[in-house]
Amino acid sequence: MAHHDWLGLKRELPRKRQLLLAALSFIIPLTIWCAISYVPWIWHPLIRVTDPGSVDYFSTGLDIPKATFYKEEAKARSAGQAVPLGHLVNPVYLPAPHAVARAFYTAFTTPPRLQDEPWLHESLAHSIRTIFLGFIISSVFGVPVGILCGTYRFFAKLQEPFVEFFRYLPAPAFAALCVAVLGIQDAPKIALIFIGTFFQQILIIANSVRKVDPALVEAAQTLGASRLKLVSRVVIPASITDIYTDLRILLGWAWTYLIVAEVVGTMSGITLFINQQARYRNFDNVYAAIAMIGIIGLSCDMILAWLGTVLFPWKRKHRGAKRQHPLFPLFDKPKPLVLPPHYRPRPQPGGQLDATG
Amino acid sequence: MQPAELKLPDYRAQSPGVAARFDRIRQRPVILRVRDLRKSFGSNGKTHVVFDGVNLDIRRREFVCVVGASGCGKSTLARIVAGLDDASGGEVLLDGRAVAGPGPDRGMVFQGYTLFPWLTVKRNVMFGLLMLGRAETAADAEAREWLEMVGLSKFEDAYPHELSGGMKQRVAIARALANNPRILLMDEPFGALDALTRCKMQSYLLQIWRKVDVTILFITHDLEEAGYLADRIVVMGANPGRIIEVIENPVPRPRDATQFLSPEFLALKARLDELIHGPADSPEEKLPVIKLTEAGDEVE
Repeated sequence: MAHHDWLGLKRELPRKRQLLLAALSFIIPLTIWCAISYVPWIWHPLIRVTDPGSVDYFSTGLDIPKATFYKEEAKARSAGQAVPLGHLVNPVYLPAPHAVARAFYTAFTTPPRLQDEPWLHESLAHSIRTIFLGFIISSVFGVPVGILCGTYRFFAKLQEPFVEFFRYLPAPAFAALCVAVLGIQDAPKIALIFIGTFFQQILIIANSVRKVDPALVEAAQTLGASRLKLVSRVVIPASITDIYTDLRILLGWAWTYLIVAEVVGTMSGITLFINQQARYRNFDNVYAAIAMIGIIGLSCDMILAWLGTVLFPWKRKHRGAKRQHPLFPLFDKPKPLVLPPHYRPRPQPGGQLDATG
Repeated sequence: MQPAELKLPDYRAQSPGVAARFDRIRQRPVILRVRDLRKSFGSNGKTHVVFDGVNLDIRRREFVCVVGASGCGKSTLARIVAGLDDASGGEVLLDGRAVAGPGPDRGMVFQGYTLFPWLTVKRNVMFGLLMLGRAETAADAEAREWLEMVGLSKFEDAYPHELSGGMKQRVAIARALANNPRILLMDEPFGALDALTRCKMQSYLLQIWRKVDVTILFITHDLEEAGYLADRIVVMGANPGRIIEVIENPVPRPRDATQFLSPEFLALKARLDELIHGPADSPEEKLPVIKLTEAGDEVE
């Protein structure tokens, strides 16, 4: 029966199941991580020495491969000397969930080791600023050019072949050039995000604009819209929701360029933090920082999705509409069926029929 | 069994009232004149002629339906009159002036509704008025009047996706009429609606047309629809597209659904059937015969 079918082909799932699955999508990887971290017989390839015993090169806190440890332990035992003690651990680059969770908090409260190093929140703010500057500068030029290319074949043919060529050039390839031209501070980083975003942006937005239903343009023409008005009052509003979605996706891409951009010139922002913590072997902090990028990215996208429903009321869902955010179906509550106020269930002759009748 | 011959009047026979109406129409000025219109496309020596030699005069406040089998170019004709397509030859004159490109003097209602999804119902109706340079408040008031006329005042702040197909098409009609066009072009406007809604929309359209001074060129492939709505019915044939007959509809106005069984209507429909499908083209003759030999059941 379709109602109980979890794997119905191209069928919408009931809302409760959607939420359950959304939660599971995070719970399952977390569970695997917990299992690897807390269950000693899963993986745990190392033994952390708590008492070196008679082994001269062991010291307290040292992580020794299992095989070596057991060999030395056997040797010490057969020689009748003090046996080394230790417990199973994972390598330092896989911290346990609770350590990362703790680092989430302590990373913000721990002062930087050197005086002129930034705090974590300063690093994050720096990264967010870099990304948004790069993205906004790109959009200021990319969106109008994209709309122009999507509307007029003239501009499309004039621009797009070059843009197609340029977008295949990996943005990091321009890193050295950016530094040479723009110095070592933030300018080359912003430029790199710009290069990574701008050319994709033109093509994607032009494509969205091109998908505008030509019948809407024709209808506007028969209503007396002039050429300019056709663009400003029909083409742009007709494609604005698609452009908005494009920008959301592109902002996600911009985050992937961030890490490359921040290595350019003087390392800065969240990348600097991650690299330093990795150097100090504080891998719990590294994981916390990486997770923070994910959380910032996801919440950014969710805020933009919500903002979209405010900005574009005509795209709001109504009864039975099925377009939902692929990640989080949290914002669209299905409307309950409202019967007209005068509606009364009609009394049936011979009383109500039961289900089998 | 041979079906009993129905005694139908000649489809050209007009009652005195109907004849008087056509006399009155013939007194009126010609709004739209189509002269030797030709449409063909293709290149490299291969041209496909959509239609050729189409001549048609439509007088003020006349309701003209164009019917024809698919491929006869009836939609193309409407699009050329609207200025959305270019003709390959001949000309279209509106009030004696050749049309070039689309304009607000020829309103159009499309089969696909084409309401602007980002505008509310009222804003959709205001769109053309604002394009003509009307002030916001004036356009607002006029749009309300039009929505009142099509019975959608309650929905003025709804978005198109919240309306049913019939309601959308009523908004589209109001939007086209708000511009006060010389002629309203309707390209199979009810083709996407279900049969019941279509019937309702047809009477709605007639009611609106009685209140508004507008000439209508209505494209359809539904013969009953044409017979119900039109003053004159232009029948087009295909390959190449051309006008094969122009029929003055003998069914008197005002029209209602009971006339679907009147002798005039049946005579008209029989003639339209004959023109479009042809006498030899009875569908039953062409169907392959399927012999059931294994059914193993007594079939009467």
